[in-house]
Amino acid sequence: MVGAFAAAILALVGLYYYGPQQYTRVGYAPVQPVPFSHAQHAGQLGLSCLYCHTGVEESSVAKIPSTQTCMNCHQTIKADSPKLALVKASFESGKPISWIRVHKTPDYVFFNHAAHVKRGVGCVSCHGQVNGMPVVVHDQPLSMGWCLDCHREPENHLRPVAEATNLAWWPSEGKTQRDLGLYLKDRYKVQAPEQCVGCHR
Amino acid sequence: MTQETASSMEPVALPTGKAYWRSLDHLADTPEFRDWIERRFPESMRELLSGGVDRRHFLQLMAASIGLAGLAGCRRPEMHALPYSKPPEEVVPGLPNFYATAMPRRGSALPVLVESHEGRPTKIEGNPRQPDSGGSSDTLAQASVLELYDPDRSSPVLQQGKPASWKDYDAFAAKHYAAIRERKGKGLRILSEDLASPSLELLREHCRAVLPEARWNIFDSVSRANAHDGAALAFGSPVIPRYQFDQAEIILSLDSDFLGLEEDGTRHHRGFSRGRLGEGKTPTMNRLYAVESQFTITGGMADHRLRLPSSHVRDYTMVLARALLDGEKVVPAPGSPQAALRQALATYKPSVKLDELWVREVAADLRAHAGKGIIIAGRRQPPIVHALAFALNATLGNIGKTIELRKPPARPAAGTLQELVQAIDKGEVETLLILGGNPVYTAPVDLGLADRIKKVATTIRLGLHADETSGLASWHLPSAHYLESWGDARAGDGTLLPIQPLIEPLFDGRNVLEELARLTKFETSLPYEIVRRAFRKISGTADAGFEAAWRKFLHEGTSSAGAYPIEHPALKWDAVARAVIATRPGPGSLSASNLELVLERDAKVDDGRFANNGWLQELPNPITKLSWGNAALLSPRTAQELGVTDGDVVRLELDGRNLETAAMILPGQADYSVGLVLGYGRTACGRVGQNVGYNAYSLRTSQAPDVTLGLKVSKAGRRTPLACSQQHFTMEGRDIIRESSLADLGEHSLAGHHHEEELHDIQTVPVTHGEHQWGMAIDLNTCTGCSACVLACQSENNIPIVGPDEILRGREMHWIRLDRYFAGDRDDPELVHQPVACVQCEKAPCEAVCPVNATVHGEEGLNLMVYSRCIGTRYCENNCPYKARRFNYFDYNQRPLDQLWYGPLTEKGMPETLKMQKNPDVSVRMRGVMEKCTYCVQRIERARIGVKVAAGGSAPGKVPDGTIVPACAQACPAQAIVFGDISDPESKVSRIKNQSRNYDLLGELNTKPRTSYLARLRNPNPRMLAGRPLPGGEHA
Repeated sequence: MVGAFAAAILALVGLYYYGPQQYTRVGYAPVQPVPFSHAQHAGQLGLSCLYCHTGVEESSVAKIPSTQTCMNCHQTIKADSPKLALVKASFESGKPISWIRVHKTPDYVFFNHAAHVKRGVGCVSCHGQVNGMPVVVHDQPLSMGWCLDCHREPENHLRPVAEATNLAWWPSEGKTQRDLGLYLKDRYKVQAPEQCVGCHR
Repeated sequence: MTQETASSMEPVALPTGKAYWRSLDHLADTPEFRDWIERRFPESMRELLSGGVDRRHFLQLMAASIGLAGLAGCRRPEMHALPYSKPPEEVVPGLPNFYATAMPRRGSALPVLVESHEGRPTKIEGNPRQPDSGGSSDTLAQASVLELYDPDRSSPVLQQGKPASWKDYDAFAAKHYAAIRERKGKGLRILSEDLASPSLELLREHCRAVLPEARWNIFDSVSRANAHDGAALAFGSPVIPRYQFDQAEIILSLDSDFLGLEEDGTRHHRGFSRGRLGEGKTPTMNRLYAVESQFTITGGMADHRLRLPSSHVRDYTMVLARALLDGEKVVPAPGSPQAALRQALATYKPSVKLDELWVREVAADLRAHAGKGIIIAGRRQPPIVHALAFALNATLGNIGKTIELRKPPARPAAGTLQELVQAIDKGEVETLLILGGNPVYTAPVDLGLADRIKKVATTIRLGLHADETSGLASWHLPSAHYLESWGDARAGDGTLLPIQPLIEPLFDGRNVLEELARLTKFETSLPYEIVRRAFRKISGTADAGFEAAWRKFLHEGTSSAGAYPIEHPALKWDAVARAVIATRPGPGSLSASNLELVLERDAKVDDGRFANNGWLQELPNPITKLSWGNAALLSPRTAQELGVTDGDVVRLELDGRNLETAAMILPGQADYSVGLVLGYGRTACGRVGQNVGYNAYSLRTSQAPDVTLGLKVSKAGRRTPLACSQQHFTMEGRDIIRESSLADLGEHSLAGHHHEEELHDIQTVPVTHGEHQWGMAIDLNTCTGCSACVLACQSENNIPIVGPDEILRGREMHWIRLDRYFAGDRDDPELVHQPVACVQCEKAPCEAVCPVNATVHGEEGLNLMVYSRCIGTRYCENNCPYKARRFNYFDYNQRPLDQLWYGPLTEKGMPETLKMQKNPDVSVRMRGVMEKCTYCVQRIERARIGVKVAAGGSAPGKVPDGTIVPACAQACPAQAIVFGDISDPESKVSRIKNQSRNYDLLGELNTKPRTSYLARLRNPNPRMLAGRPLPGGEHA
């Protein structure tokens, strides 16, 4: 009897700890078919996020770059590298590269990138220090509670719109994130939706 | 494993498992053309269609990846993201593109804009730049997108009914056509419908040059011959009338459903609704007199309606013409042609007694509004009625003002179906090429076309579905849909419209232009090039400006080229007089043993071509509210005399042929006139339309394709259920419809009608603080009940169909319910339509009772539905006084209609092509979830996000009025639905809601709905009020 009770408590605690996305999603770092390293391209080479993820400023999806984008450079640079064999094959055949998707909200969530990136939410807030990731890691839980934490208090995460893709940005000397955030929230008139229809349609 | 969207999983082969090749493969002559084509269509779709990975392989992949991932298999399953390899230039994933094209219809085409998501057309909208559409559309246009994706569309080429390939056909055709060309076309007949397409005309001309011995026959299941003959009789030349209803103050419809089943309905709606109620201090309103046998939506809008069997309309027209001409102030000189017409009319003896008021007062009213009236005759009426209508219009001075006459270019003469049958009997036909249509199903039964076709050595048939005609053909070739084809068409006034493809042929279809070009060895067999040549020819653009003009043509979806010239021909009075003398009087009084049969095309499946379209089958017929089938329509008196009730099966006997059909009693039907719509009872259709309804074509003869006499109706002794979505005629004492007359307008406000007592608050709800407050107004005075809004909503919001069994249980899923109310006399009622969807109550009864807060109130006044929270208690549906909520009793999307109740461990899924139609901005709902109208919240959010994104680092403004147009408002051809921000007093919706006609539906419940209605007005002739019901329910 007591054992059953204790087992139930243990199960609930386990569920509470292991169940949410904070545990199940954070740290997910699948091996991609092509060993693309953000650390090298976005970090070392300094490529802007927007060079490849072009949808971010106008559309709901950020868009994974097409093979053509890769071939812009790799037609000549490291053209015969075995690591890029799949890219070359994709470009020649017209079949897409089958990347493994890391960040995905459930189908009943309609997330819009442009509404965030153009209004003062940086890439790093949700995707982490991508320019330091040799393999893309799921950095934040992207759970509804996590989203609402920011939607309810956007001042904790806002940054100037121009700094959205600057993964190394910090608030300048003397200013706290919160103070700057409050100022920007007022200036941009940020109204992060808390009503259901903001994300669920 | 969850079913994810196409973007996140490996592509799966289509159910047929066949490999698809690009239809333009063989045309890849020039690298520039190939490059151009490849840039238009997305790589991911090509992947899908080339048969990528099949199901078994995919499951192996998934299992392998789970195994490799180890404990990571405890997480969400691995999903893939597939970007383009070489992306097309103008496609931004997540944002739709809009392309202008045209939907070919009878005689003309409806200009449309098609919304395309990543290369998949998902929604059809009207083209606002073209006056025929003006931004709105109709039911058939809305449903055509589903036809594109119909999984029952024929896919492989069929040779004698067995699957073959294009290679086989091309090999055969090369030899066969070469022989035909050598014989200069002897023995070749081409049978097609009457399409107004300049590129087709170009090929026809070439065909006549290259194959002078070949003959072209044209057969239209729904013919406009009477109107053409009438115009030819009256004016001596086949002019086409174009009616400007917005200029008309008095309209007389002689058996003409000009708002519905006649052509140009969308444009007529627009004009008619403009004239319905003017703005200003003393508003004026047009007046519509309708003389008809069937109850149509035109009759529903009429201020006065005369129920007359179609065969008596001729009598009425003669008597009216006489009254009108006799009352003219200017008496024509004796011996003049006008006098001859009067003389002829005076000698005509009508076979029935006609209502005195209807003759005298209508004539007087028309005369009083001379130059501002329209007399329009319907398709069914014989040419003399059309000719007389033109004569009367000419007398009244309407021609050139409210009626425009345009002269189409002369077209080469084509044979009729009768001639084709005779030629086959004489053995002159060796090869018969059937382009489109479905002549074996739609041909008059006395011609015996099926037997004749069997006699022809080679029949090649190009069609969308493998239908009744394909069953007899040697070769069946899948045709490309208009959304997959290059082509062109003409608008009602002759201006050129482009038809441009939005997607590669999904089912390997071939364009009719290509087939004809190959047959005649035209200089090019690329439809794109043929259309360009036709455009160059008609527009006459010089080479220098051609590319710019061409691109503009494609972008706008319209052009100024090709307009038929406006003519002012003189009326041939003597010809009309002679025709009047030659006309025999009507058939005299009808009775229960001598009935009239009126065959008409269906408002939904047309002549049968859309029978496999689930949306159209399920849409309740605008007047009868019958879905999934047809029925013989009887007036209450006729039914009483025959002893027939709703749902009885009756036997119709006509000329030795009989047909058993269901019977339905329709108040307002003319006595002793039985109406039956065509297009049902198909035997080779597809899984949706197979054997649905009763085949009226089995009673249709070539002598009398529309109206026949001598029908006998008897009971067959059994009953059948009718899937009618509206059986009740009672409003339980509530003033759901508010109506008034133009004369009474302004006398008292209709808003607070009957409710002087204090309204009780049933709940308190905090005030909403959003930037905008959304509201909607629906004008019952212009709503005709055409149902375009219902289908637009279904198309935009991924609403599934449920099938006839579920309709019988009252579980239809349409978010908009078009209520039809009769008023007045049982036999001769008036009709009002009212579209009801969720009215977004501010004090919503549904929100208070949801146990899980799945329906909450938004900051901008919307009643939000959150599908992910709903657990399906259905308490909200119960509490809604408008009954506007719909529950997914089954997984209607993933289960076939005959397997709805299968359990969770059985196989389920949606055909791949149907998935492509779904709007990606709207959830597709599963079983157990409630849904309802959301004011197209995806469009609202798209606009609000757009304003924010545009603002960037500054304060976003409000969304400008008119930016957000819900699907229903956009589709409505009468512009009856207006949506906008009610917190802005200058917005269109605010101004409309301030009108005295504005009222809240069930306002006494104090739900404070955001959707309000504008009361219906009637404009009766004060001299014709005897016996009419007054808006309050009393009689005059």
